[in-house]
Amino acid sequence: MRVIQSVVHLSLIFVITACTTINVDHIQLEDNLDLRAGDSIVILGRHHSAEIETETSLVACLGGKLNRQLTNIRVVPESQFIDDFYPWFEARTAPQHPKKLQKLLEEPLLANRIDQLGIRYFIWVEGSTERTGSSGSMTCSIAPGGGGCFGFGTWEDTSDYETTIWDIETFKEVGRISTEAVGNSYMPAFVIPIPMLAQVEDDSCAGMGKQLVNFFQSGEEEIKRVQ
Amino acid sequence: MLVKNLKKTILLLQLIFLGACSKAFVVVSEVPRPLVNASAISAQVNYSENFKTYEFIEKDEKRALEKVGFGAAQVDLFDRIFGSLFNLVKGEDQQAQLKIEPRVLDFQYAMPSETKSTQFEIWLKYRLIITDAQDQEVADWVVKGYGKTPTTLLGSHLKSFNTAANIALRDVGAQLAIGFRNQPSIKDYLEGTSTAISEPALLEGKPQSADETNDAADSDQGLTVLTPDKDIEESINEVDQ
Repeated sequence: MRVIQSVVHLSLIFVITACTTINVDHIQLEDNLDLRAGDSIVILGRHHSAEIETETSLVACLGGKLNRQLTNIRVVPESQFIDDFYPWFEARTAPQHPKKLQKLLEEPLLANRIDQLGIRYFIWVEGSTERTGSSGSMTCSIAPGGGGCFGFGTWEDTSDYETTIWDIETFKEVGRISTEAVGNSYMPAFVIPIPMLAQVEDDSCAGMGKQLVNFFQSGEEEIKRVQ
Repeated sequence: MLVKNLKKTILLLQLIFLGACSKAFVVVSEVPRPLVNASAISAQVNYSENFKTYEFIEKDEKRALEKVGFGAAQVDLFDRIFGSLFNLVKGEDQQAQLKIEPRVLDFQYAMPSETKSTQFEIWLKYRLIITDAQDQEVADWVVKGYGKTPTTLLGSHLKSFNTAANIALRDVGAQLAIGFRNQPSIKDYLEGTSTAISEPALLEGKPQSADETNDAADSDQGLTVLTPDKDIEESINEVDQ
C-alpha cells in the first residue's frame, strides 16, 4: 500500500514538473482601446481548411480567462455565436478580413443581431497543437497472477497560434498575438505507467489569455474611471 | 440480495458491451435555423422514400460501422434551410412556384483508426433538381459537405461521429442558405418570379407586402456564388477571395 502511495505521489510531482517552453509576441496597432460598459467580445476559432482546426477547448479556455478577469466586458461563447449567426461564420463562410466582415454586416439582419449582443471586438484564433515527435516503446500484459507495463515513451507537442483582434466600429485589425509553445512529455513504466505530461495547449491558453487581458485592461480602466 | 446485485451487474455489462460493439448508428440533426431573409416565393421540397429513409450500408465487414441512418437528419436539414429561404408548402395537392428534389449522391466516412489521425471525417454529396410550377427544369445543382471532429480521450466515439456528421450537414446547409438563391439560373428565375408575384393571382393564400416581394431581389449578400461540381477546397478559396 505504501509503495502504491509513493508511486502516486512521485507521478504527481512529475506531472507538475513536466514543462513547456512558450514564446508570446504581441503587437498593439491602436494606442487606446475604445470600450463602453456592456460591450461584448467574441472569440472564434478558425476552421477554414482541412489542415487548420483550432481546438474548441482552447477557444473556450481563452473565453473563460477573459470572462473571469475582465469584469465590464462580456465574452459571447463561440458555439452560441456561430449558432445564432448560422450560416455566416461557418468554416467555409467566415470572413477572413475585417472588410469582408464589414460587407457582411451591411445586411441589416446580421447587423441588428450584432447590436443586440453588443459585440464590439472579434478575436480570431488560428492554429493548433500537434504532436511533432515521439519515440520509445512500452508493453503491457495481463496474466492470471497480475499484470503491468514496462518501457519508456516520450513525445513532443508543439502549438502555434495567431490571434487577431478586429474592431467592428472601424473594421480594422487593432492587435495581434503570436504564441508558440513546445512541450515534452515522458511516460516511464515500471509495472505502473507514470505520466509526466506537458500541458502545451493549456500553457498556450495561459500565455495568450494574459496578453489578451492586458490588451483589454486599458479599455476596462477607462470604463471604471468614467463610472 | 446477491442475486439482485448479480443481475444488475450483468445488465450493466451487457449495456457496456452493446455500446462498445454497436455497429449501427442513427445521426441526429442539430443544425440551427439559418439567419437569412425569407422570400415570399412558395417552394416545395419533394423527398423520395429512399431519401427519407436513407441508410448508408457498409459492405466491408472490417469497418467500424455497418449501418448509418441518415434519412431523418437530412430531411430535417433541408426542411429547416428551405423553410427559412422560402414560403415552404407541404402536401402533393399544393401548388408551389419552385419544386426542389434532393438526391443523395454519396456518403462516406473515415474513422480515426483508418486514417491514422485523430479525426472522424464525413463527406456528403447531394444533387438538387429544381423545377418550376410547370415541372420545367430551372437548375441541377450538386452540393458537397465535409465535416470532421477530433477524438476525445474519454468521450463516446458515436457522439464524436454525430458531431462530424452535423458539421458536414451544417456545411451543406450553409452553401444552400447562402448560395441557393445566388445560383445564376435560380436567381434569374426568382427575379422573374418576384416581379410576377406582385400580381396577387400568382400566389395563393398569402398576402404580399412590398418588402416581401423585394426580398428575393435583395437576397444577394455580395458573396461568391457556389457553382456546381466545385471541390470543397476551391469553394473555400472562393469565399475567402
